[in-house]
Amino acid sequence: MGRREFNKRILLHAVVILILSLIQSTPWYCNLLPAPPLLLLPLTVCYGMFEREKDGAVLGAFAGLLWDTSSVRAFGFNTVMLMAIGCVCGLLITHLMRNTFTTGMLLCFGAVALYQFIDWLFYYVVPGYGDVGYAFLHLWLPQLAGTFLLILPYYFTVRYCMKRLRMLEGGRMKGLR
Amino acid sequence: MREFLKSTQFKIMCAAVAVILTVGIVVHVTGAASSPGDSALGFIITPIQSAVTSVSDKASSFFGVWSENEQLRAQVAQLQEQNRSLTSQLIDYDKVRQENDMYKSYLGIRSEHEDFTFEPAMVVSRDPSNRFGAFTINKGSAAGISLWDPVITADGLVGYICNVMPTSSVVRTVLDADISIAALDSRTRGDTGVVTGSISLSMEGCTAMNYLSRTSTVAIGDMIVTTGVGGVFPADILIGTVKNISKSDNEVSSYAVIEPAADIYNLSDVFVITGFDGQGGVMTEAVTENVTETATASSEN
Repeated sequence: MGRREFNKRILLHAVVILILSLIQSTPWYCNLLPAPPLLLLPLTVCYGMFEREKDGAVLGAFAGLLWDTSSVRAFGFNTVMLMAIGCVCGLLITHLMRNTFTTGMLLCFGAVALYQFIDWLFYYVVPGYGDVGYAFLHLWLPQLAGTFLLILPYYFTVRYCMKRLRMLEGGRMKGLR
Repeated sequence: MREFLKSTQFKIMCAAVAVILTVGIVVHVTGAASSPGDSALGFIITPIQSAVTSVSDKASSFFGVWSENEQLRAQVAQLQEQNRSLTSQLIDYDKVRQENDMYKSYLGIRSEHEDFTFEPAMVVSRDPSNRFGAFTINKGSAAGISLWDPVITADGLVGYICNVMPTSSVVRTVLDADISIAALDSRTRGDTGVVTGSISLSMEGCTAMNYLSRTSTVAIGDMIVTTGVGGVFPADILIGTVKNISKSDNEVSSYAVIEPAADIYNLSDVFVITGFDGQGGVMTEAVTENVTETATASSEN
């Protein structure tokens, strides 16, 4: 695989991240549901799985950085979280798991649950806002479910795109059954 | 020549001419409208002529449609162009009207609070993981905006700036559980409290005024305004109206559920107050006394 093709692919991923980040931050999308699904999280999981740890981490960090620009949280929270998710997913696929839809679902659930739990714990429970159970049931849990379901379209779309791109590059897809 | 004059063909021609002439003279002398020949000929020719005329008309009409089509096409193109131009003007008109509305509200606030310096801004993004309606605006430190600057609309208070970047800023709203605004009832002017959001209320688009004393006379429908204490928010900015009053869990004080005057979840334009009298901690004596008295009364109760 040439350097040029690789750059093209990463650039394409970056454009997809940028578009989804813009959609995710539009007031229209945020008012769509009380807790709209987080578009960038499952995408980072997919990129981690298909691009592996190094590129997964870079793409995750880019997605998190874009997210942080419209976030009230401490700057860098999403960058670190998504970078870690992209990297860990890549490492797990390289060393421990096979790249299938089932593992995709498993990794996505783990990543989303971890993100939501940390968010709930550090940005809601620890500051002592109250209504902890209500918040978890009515906001965090529906958002977790909605975000998790996104793995279905994301996984197959990313897999198809990666196959096409690798075919164009003349290579074969590593580890994809 | 002689042979031709003697031929049968010549004789027939002469006979025909003679017949025609005779008929002509007879018609002329008798004054008849048409000759029998004409009539007989007309009987045969007229339907044919009608048919031909009809075909001709149809052909003419057919080709006329083609030529008219060209004209119509030109007219349609012209009308489409006109339509595009009018639509564009309408969009401009809507934009101008929106700007006009914004400047009107700006002027309204400006005339009410002459000490304010404003920076109009537009809501550009929101964070789906934030539960309290926080949003990002398109103005930052380059436009003179700094941390803690209050954000308002013509309707009322929205929140304050909690994060500043050179070209954008993040606004924390009155629905946020992290916000604390010293507020009072504009009707009684004596009932004070602290406006803080909660997750369950923010889902309904409401916030709460906490620490109301047990003797508080706050009533449903009262308008809640800022006190100006603390120097973050200017005094007498409308926060919202009282929707409901309940006892706190500890039964020591009560709280009022407030419906914010500004539609927090559907904002498009806001004003950032970059400067006002008393910004940064200066408070008026009257308000200080008021708050102190209320706090003392609450602790005694």
